[in-house]
Amino acid sequence: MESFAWLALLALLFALVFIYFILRQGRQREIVVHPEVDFELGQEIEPRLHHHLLREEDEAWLPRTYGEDQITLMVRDPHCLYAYWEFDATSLGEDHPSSLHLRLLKHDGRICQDFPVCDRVGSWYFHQVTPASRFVVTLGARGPDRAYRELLRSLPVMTPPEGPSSIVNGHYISALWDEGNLPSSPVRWQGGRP
Amino acid sequence: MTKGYIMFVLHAHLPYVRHADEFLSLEELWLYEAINECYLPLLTALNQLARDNVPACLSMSLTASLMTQLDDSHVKAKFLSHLDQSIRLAESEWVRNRDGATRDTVEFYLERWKRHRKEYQEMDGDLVGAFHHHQAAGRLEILASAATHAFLPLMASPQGVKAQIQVGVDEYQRRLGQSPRGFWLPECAFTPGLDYTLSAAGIEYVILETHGVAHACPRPRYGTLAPIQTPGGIACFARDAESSKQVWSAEEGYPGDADYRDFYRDIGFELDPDYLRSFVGNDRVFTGLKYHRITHRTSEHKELYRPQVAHQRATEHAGNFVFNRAKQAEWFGAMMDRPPLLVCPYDAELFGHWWFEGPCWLEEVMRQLSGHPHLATVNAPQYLSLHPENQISQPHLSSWGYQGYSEVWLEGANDWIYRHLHQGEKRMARLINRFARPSELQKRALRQAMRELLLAQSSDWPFIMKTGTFPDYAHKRVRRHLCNFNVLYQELMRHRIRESTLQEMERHAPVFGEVTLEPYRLESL
Repeated sequence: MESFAWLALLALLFALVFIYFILRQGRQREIVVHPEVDFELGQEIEPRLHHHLLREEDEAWLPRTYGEDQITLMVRDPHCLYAYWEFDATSLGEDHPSSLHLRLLKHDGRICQDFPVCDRVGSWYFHQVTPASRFVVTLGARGPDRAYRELLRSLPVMTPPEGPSSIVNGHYISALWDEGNLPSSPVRWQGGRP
Repeated sequence: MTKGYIMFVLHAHLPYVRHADEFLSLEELWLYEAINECYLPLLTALNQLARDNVPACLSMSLTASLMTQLDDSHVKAKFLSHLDQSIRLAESEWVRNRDGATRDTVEFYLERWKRHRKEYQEMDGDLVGAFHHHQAAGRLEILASAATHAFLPLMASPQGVKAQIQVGVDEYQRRLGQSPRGFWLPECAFTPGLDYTLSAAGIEYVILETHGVAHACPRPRYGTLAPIQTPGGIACFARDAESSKQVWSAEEGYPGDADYRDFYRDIGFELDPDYLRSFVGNDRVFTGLKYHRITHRTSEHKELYRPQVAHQRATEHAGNFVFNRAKQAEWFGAMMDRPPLLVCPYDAELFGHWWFEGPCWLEEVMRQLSGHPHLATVNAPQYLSLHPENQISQPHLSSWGYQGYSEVWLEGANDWIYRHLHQGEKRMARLINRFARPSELQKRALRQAMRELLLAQSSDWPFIMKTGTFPDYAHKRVRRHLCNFNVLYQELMRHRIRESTLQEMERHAPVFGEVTLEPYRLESL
């Protein structure tokens, strides 16, 4: 009975030490206090490789990362989307992926673009996307078996149309608003030019 | 019989460039140049129209960041000091040129600036009040805008968008004593869903870029010649492409005329720095003293500026503009069962600053339209009362920037800001919802955090980064406001607010009074 109590005590101690290290690791990852400005900073996991790196003085002011796994998709124009993401691969533990992949999908799940990315904190422009369509972007990992495992998913966004709508209702003066077929106006610029 | 309507909308905005310290920063000069060359001349034009009983009808947006600066006693004192310095330089120039060919032009500036100083002192520096006076008289419809002119479609959260709109509306009410009916979307940028937030804030109408309405779904029956009504209940008026081009276009627009003043030939960049130093300091800056006319856009040779000739040219261009709009209205009106509406929105700072003769042109357009047999000027509320029923149609993402969408504000030079701005929105929501019953000190810190975040969100910073005009300043401003925000976030979360730091931040950005925190509360959505 006595040895059972000792065993239980040892197990409890072991559990406490384990929890302490887990918490400590989490806190180290989450908060680093900058000596000068004293605010929350995330850790830079690896240098960013993009041309629009934050400049040296920026680093003193802004966190490189925020310790939150996330991916965001933004619309630039009918043919271009922009995504930025932050992902802490160490959270995968033993399951560390051989490569990260960025995948752009139409809202129905159809894959539009899929390619490997190096950066766990990065950004990307998707060009030549379809106007008037709904998209999401995912960040995933491919393991040794090459299977794609989704890690992060953005909220959906909608690209705008690039021309007038084909949907009409009521009375409509079609001659006016077919782009490219706009009737030439009688107005001619008459001001003096040098 | 009215065959067409014209709606003029001037968008007045400058980013928050006030510096708390005594020295005059280069960026503050933007504000003082705008007051001297744009806002005061526009007020002069409105006053003259009122004096002559011309039934003018103009619309103008005043952003919260501009109003807060115009109403700031520190800014008012510094503007007067700057104007005095400009007058001293003009006096010195008069002596230097008293026997020269530019003497009359120097006298023209000297007389004009002294008049501005007198008018400004007489109104006690209350430019917002002066514009409001014309609003009360029915000559001017003033639109509100987003608090710091954020590019709303690129914001992350409904709370963030709501805060920009609500603070803009609150400031309008606080300074003008009434609720706005119209809202100037920064950069004319719209995205679906905005209309619901605007409608909830009591807004009735906005202005969109031409294709913002032309590409709406279903296809607008009258194209851009009548407003559409969004499903969210907002009327959207579209910019008329042709009239815009006549004023905006660098190639074909009126401001490029040979007789108009050349903006770039300024003595601040031409005379001996030793001579200028006692007036403008060590930097090469625009002084406002420009003695040449455009003459020829592609030639370095410039003839001397002749104010009277330029004034005459502006009158001719006003006639041309009215003539062309009448033709437009006649042409399109024949195909419509209501008079077409031509919406002419411009940056207010174009008038007087970039296009020196712009206010004179605008005044003359108003005079010519007042007696026109077929054209009438309207503002949006007037038009909507005449034609309350408009087609329901959903606009999509659009802006009046290059290529018509978000490209200017989201590209390689500025895209790094968004992950930080978006995180700021998340953190602000976290703070507001964590401190449901804040102490007085916590409330002050929360409000300052809100101010810093709003100031970081201004669309001016990514725009400047993109154009490369003052990129270091834009970088610095975004970093500084986000850094201040992050410091306050950290201190609030740790319950360790340093009052001295907070006071210093409040001193540097005393904007928006007791700014509302409500938009970031979860239950407010």
